[in-house]
Amino acid sequence: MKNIINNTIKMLAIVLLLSSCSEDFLDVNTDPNNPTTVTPDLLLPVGLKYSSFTSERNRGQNTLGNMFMQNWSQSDGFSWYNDEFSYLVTSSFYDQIWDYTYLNALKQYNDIALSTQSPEFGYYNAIAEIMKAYHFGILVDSYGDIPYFEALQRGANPTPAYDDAKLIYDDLALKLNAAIASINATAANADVVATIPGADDGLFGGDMDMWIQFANSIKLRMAARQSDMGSDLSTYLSC
Amino acid sequence: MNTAVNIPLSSYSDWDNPLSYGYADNYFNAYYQNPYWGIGTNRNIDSSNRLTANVSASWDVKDWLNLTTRFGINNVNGRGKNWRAAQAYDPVLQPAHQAVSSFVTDSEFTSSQYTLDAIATARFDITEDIDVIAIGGATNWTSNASSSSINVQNLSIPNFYDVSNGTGIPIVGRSDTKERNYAFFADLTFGYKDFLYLNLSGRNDWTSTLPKDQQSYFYPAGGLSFVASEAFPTLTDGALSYAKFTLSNSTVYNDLSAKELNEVYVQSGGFPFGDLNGFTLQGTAIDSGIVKEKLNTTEIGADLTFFDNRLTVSASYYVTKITDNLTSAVPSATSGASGFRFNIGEIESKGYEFTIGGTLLKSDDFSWDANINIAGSEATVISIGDGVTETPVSTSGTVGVYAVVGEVFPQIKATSYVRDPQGRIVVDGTTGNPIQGELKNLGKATPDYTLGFTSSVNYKGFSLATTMDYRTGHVYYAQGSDSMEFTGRSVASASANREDFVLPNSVIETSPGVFVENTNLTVTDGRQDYWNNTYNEIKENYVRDATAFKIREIALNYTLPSSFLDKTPLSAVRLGLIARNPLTVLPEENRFSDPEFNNSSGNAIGIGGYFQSPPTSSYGFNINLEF
Repeated sequence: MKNIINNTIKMLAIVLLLSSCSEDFLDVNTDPNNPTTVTPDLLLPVGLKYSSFTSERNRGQNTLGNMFMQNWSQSDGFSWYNDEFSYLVTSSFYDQIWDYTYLNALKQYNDIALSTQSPEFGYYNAIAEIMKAYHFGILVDSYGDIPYFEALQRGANPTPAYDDAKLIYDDLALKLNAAIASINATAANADVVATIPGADDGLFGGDMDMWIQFANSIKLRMAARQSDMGSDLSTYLSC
Repeated sequence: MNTAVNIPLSSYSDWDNPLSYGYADNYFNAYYQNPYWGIGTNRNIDSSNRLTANVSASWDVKDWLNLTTRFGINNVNGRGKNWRAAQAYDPVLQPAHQAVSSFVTDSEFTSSQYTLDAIATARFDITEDIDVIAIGGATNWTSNASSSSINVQNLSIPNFYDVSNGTGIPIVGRSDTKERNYAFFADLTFGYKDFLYLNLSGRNDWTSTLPKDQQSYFYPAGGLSFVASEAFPTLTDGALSYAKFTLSNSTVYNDLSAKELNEVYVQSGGFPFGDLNGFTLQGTAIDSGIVKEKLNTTEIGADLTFFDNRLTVSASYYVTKITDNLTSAVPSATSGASGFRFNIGEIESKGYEFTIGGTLLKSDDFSWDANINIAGSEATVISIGDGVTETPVSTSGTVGVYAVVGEVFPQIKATSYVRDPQGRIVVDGTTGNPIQGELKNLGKATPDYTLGFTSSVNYKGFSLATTMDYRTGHVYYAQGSDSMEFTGRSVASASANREDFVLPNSVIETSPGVFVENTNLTVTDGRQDYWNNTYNEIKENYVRDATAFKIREIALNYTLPSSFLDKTPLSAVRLGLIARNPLTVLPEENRFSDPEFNNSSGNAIGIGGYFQSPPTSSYGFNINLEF
């Protein structure tokens, strides 16, 4: 009996030591259920879903615009839109536009932009930059000064500083020009066959000419916002 | 919610009869379903099996040396099924109701933990006066857990709940988690003449859930205890019968949960959409430099007993320094992260505990034992991070729990009234409504102290045991009363007969810094809108004094004398009456809820919620038979 116990102890001790000494014993912390990297064709559809939701959701941009322009009203007896009709604009008024745009749409496009630095994904990178400019433009339209240059760095900067609205518009115009140039450069690059978006591009189905037109439209809108303000609009009007 | 208290819900139990008022189309509430509909058509069924096994072997190698190994398994697996029936609504009778869709979910899980220990214990005397207990050992802990679920929606055949019956793409989920940890440890205790003891111990852990360079950590501890009544026996000549003093310091670390370290992509809701799949980066950002949390505690204590152990007094004081406190906070939305897991800097917590107890009265068949306990602790935030003076731990935007540098943790902050220098409420010069102010510190969520009292009276076969406590000095946010404002069920909203009124003690700012007393300007729409949209937005109104006195339990038991049972097969019979939570006394300003019931069990204490079952009082009767 004593022998059996003795052997058991030895055996267990050996098992313990063996398992402890193995180099990769502790390498079990990787998530087997969720990927750590994803190609942009799986990220873009989600971004476009977010983009449509920022505008069409309940109390999204569409509601705000129509309420303030008095295009929409509410039926008598309902008390759903009191803040809108009494202009009770507090820090929580339509905060879903701000929160949802930064936390979903912009986060997604910024992530696509960061993961598509290689020439192979030149088109995706340009699309991500154009969509970022689209959303940042609307945020400046709605709020004026917003966090921009330090924004979207997640854990690296949990409290980004606010930037001047005019500087943001100007930088967005530069970014849009760069995105258009990048689409043209990707098409002209004979060394690398770039991935062309397909069904995952729910907006233009991978038609990059349409994306260039869309980028120019965003610039035009931002230029229109600054008309009669004495701004130098040459960046906005070059294409 | 949205159900008036004067409506007897039980009269709506006939939920599936189209001619009844309980039927979906006829039910009085246009926004919420008849609860009897839920009882009749929703189910959530769970079952689980558990297996625990332990094997241990112990061998006394020599009379001073013992070797022990233990192996333990804890295995749980289970399955669940959850379903809901569809419900359509008549668009004329119930225009506000959205149709309810049907679904069925099948889920399974399995989880197992293995523990393996090997310990060697040696006891020997170094000299006649000094003895030593030395312990050395190793331990290993492994945890495996898996779960999966299938959810299908819009069932084709009503009331047939199987995943084959769904339409559209099923939503499937799967999670596998592995965690490993091992450690070596040693513990030395020196004893000198049975009155002075020195304990030194060290332990090195390796854990799988931390970054590579953080996986190994050593924690030392040391303690000294001195039994004065043994060292100087003359001390016990008087009232004192025993005296012990202790001093200790220990360091421990907390690590992360499994799979928390790496940011991953998750399938986005609504995908796959046809042939398209879609992923998005997880909402919570993990600090790339995240480290383990360190807790260092120094404690001094004294235990004294008097009058042949009739009276016991014990007291202790401790200081815990938490460095690199692992916290989940809410960053600015503009950072693109909805949560942030990082180390918060430094928190120092100081606390004390004092207990006095004993046998107050004692005779042959009567005794009364009582015990009073007072404890308090206070954690102060010393630093958070570079230039950061406060961080929300949990917030809705208008009310939240915060860590503020230099303040006690956790602090409740909420939107407030704007007040003039005299503390009067500033109202808008046109509407008469108070102006909504910034987020303001409204107090701490932990009590100054907790006072506990237990008593036990025994007389012959009867015993009466009572437990009660009192805590004060803290505040909490009453989420329930907040939501009652919207539904028009709050005491406040009826306080002015639902009419316009002049807000008492209010002022109007006529020019910057000039405040004129408001004597005639009434609030706007005191019937409804003022309460819904102005009063309800100033969350200061719902941060209340969390003081509470509670009688937790009163139990009266009677044990039948054994002479009664001589001729029966029974060996003991006990009868008992028990009352749990029979009495809660709350301050006048807190008329709604028990402040002890929190929304969250994490760091964010102080948010009293309606997501948890309210506290209940219960009364019971026990019969206990032994054969």
